[in-house]
Amino acid sequence: MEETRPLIVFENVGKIYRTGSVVYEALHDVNLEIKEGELTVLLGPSGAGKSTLLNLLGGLDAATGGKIYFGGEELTAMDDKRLGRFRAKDVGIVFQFYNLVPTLTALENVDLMSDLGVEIMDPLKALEMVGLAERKDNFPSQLSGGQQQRVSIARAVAKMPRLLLCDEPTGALDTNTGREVLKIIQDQSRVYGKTVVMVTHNSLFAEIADKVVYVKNGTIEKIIINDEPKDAEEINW
Amino acid sequence: MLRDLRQNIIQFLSIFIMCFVALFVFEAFDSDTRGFGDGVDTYYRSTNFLDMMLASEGFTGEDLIAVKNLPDVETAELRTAMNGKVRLSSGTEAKLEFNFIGDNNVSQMLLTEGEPYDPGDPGIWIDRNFAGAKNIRVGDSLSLILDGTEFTETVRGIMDNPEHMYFMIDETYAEPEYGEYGFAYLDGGEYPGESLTYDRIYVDLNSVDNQFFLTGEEEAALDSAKVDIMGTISKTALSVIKKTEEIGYDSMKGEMEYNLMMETIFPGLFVFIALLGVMTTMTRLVTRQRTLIGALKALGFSREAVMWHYISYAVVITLLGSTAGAVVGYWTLGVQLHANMNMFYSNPYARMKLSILPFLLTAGISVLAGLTNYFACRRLLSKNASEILKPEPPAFAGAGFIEKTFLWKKLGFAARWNLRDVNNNRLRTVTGILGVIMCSSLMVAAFGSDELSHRSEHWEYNELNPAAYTIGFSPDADYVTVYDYARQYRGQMVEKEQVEIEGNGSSRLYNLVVVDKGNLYRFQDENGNYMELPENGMAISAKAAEVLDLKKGEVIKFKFPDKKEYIEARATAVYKSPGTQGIVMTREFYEGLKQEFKPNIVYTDMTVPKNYETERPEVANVTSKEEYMRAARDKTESMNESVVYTMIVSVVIGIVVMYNMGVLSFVEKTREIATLKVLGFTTAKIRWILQQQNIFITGTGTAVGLMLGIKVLGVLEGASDPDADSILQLSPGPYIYAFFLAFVLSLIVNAAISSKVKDINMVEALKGVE
Repeated sequence: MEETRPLIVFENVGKIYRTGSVVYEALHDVNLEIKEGELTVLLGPSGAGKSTLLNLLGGLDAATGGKIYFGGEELTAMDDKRLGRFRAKDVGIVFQFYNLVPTLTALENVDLMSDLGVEIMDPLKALEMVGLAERKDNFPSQLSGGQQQRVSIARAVAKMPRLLLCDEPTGALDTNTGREVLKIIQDQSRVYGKTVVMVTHNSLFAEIADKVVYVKNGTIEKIIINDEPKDAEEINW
Repeated sequence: MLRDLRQNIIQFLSIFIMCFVALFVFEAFDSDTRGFGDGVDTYYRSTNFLDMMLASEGFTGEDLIAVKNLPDVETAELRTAMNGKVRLSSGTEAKLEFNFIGDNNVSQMLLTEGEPYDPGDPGIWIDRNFAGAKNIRVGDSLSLILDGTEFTETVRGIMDNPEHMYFMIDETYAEPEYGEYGFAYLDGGEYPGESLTYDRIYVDLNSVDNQFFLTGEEEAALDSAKVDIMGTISKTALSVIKKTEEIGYDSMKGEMEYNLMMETIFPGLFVFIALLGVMTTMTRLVTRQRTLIGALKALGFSREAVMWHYISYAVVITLLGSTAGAVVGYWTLGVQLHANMNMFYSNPYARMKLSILPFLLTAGISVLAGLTNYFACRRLLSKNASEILKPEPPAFAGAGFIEKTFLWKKLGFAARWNLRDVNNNRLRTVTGILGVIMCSSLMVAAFGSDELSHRSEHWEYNELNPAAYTIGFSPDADYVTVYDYARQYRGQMVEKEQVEIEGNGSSRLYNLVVVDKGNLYRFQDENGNYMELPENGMAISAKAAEVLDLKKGEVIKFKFPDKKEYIEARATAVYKSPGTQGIVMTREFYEGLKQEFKPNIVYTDMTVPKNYETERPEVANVTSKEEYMRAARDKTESMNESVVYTMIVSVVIGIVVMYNMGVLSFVEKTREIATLKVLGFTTAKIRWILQQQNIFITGTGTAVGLMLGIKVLGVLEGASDPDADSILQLSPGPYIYAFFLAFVLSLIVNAAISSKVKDINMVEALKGVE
């Protein structure tokens, strides 16, 4: 297999939260590399620090120590404006609770990014990709949880980002719907060559990843490379 | 509960402020109105204020006996009043009204110092305000001038008199100025001239027991007594004036009606906004706390216990706001209003009064708030625990019909998002728009009132009556005398009289103005254009026509109060005047009605010596344009205070409603805003999106408010002085000021709220569903 250069690099990254006199160290001296086109799963129990890692990577939160690089650019040195541009152009984020704009239809949610002047694919095609073209005029409140999550994925991938971040994307879904969503996410890496980073506490999901990062107590416990990841349809939980 | 109140501090604070302002305004006006009303009643009772006054050129003892013999008459007495002067110890002179009396059982003096009056007593009784201002004491010897005669009297007492409660000694004053001039009472025997002619009879009726707050029967008794008197006394130039037409009584009633309107309309609007606030806040509070409510119910708390807990929020807040508003309103604006009233009405019994009404209103608001709260929350609170614990997805809908139009596709994300948000939060939006409407309409009214009062002064004294001087003549002055003055001063002769005009359903005392040839007494039509008086009819003032329900083209009946016969003439024009309401006609037309033209005023552009007033018996007063304008300005100054209060109230409403609704909207959108930030929307872009909705709400509210403002101004102007009129046309100024103030206020408030976009923590905001 041809050696690809890392798209993302974490160098001695730390994150400390302060609430009054209470200090909580969420991440400590994290070093990690993620290659372009890889599907990486961040696995660990609740409170391990995996979501914090994802938030730092998406520019939603700022590290209190160390450096993070994306495509050679240092994210930790960017100001709010540049981080906003980075999120708009290079990153698509899928949340556990979808976070769709409730006053916009499915199609408008996907089309939202065009308002920022970002070049996006035809929003209807993005919805077709997740199998929801016929529900394009429905509001989020008129869709099931799984359908909302699929719209959320369509919105994230429509702008053709280099990086797709998914935070517990099946956390609020039943098994069958979750499996469908997992398949769509896996295809983003396998079919479309996107770099995908997915946070989960479900160890079964490790089987579909190219790389599994075990996070525990704010540090990386171990990293396992999966030579033969399974198809999402094969997973049962 | 305290934690909830703290967490929703802005919403609860706005409800508190609205209740506070409502009771603040209500109690301020109510304490003054009730206090003054009761004070007048007590004053009139303790002095046996007259029920009826007869005025004519001269009454005899036989006339008095005839009146006393009427079955409805309890007692009656002769009086006369004339203006003279007092020479003060400082060497200056001051105007003094001399009242000569025989008995004093009706409209008695209220002695504050000295000896009571007995018929035949020598000496003089001086009014309290004048005595205080000029340092006159009991026992002082005063040098007096009356009808060109100088004489001295010893001060026997200091007193008040109810018929001088609202007292202007002559028409150089637009409002009373107590202490600057005075009135005095003397026995008829003290008259320094040759013989005293009594020109009034005061009547006390036995069927009128109440003094100020009259019953329907008592009002009817006054009307019937008037008819009896007019049938009994056959005198030339007899006028019979009921107590309800007396200037002090009439203007006090007018003040009370104005105050009643102020204490009804404004608090009503504030309470309405407060109740909308209760509805929006409590609906959202219980929706946010549905898990807690479900848990409490699951733990065994009864439906009633949970319901009472949430209802108590609105009750407690409205109770606190109303009570605080009533207390502060009484001691601040109430005290100020009372002080203002004391400047215009001299009443020793006037006190502020704490009536039961603020308590009832506070209780009523709290009950209403509790009920509003109940209806807002009962849907959720009456469900069982399992239903409540199940999260309810938000029921978002589209923007309605507009989505079906071609326009929709042309709209950007921000417009669509905002339109749907507005449609999905209609109550919040309507509350916001109502707040802006109230704010901007009050601003137009305040700025407009300021403009109208300044314009009225210019209108009256530069456009309609631009004469440099007026010479007022005594009733004895004949036509030839007045004509000589008009010739000497190249002036215009005018006859001004009071007449009773019959309307459709009612009649009222108004002015009759008959003008001779000249260009110093002018008229304007309803649009403010100069007009010539019609040759073939008379003109009626727009205000009189409105009050009496009369129209141009109708034949109108009017009569002098001392005559029984009506005069009929067709009103062929309508004129508009800021102060002179009634009917006007040319001398030729008037004489054509077989009436004798008896001018009593000359308008001139030449300078007239002021000493004519004291040196020439035929001249009652000489008044310069500057004196009239100074009086008008004094009145304007007192109006400026109400303009300032209206401005403060409108700004408070604007800020409270906009901030409350803005924060409510912002808090509800926090998650969406965080999502937009995650997607890469910049803070500036998000703030602009929020600002667009704000501009829509403010724009809609302001547009309606500006249109409504002129109506509000009309109501306020009409209520403040029933005899005043104005052309309700404003320059662009008040609209522009109101528009910019409301808009700038709104932009600032929204900018303050949306500045929090920068501080939204995306990770925190997007953490959980609830």
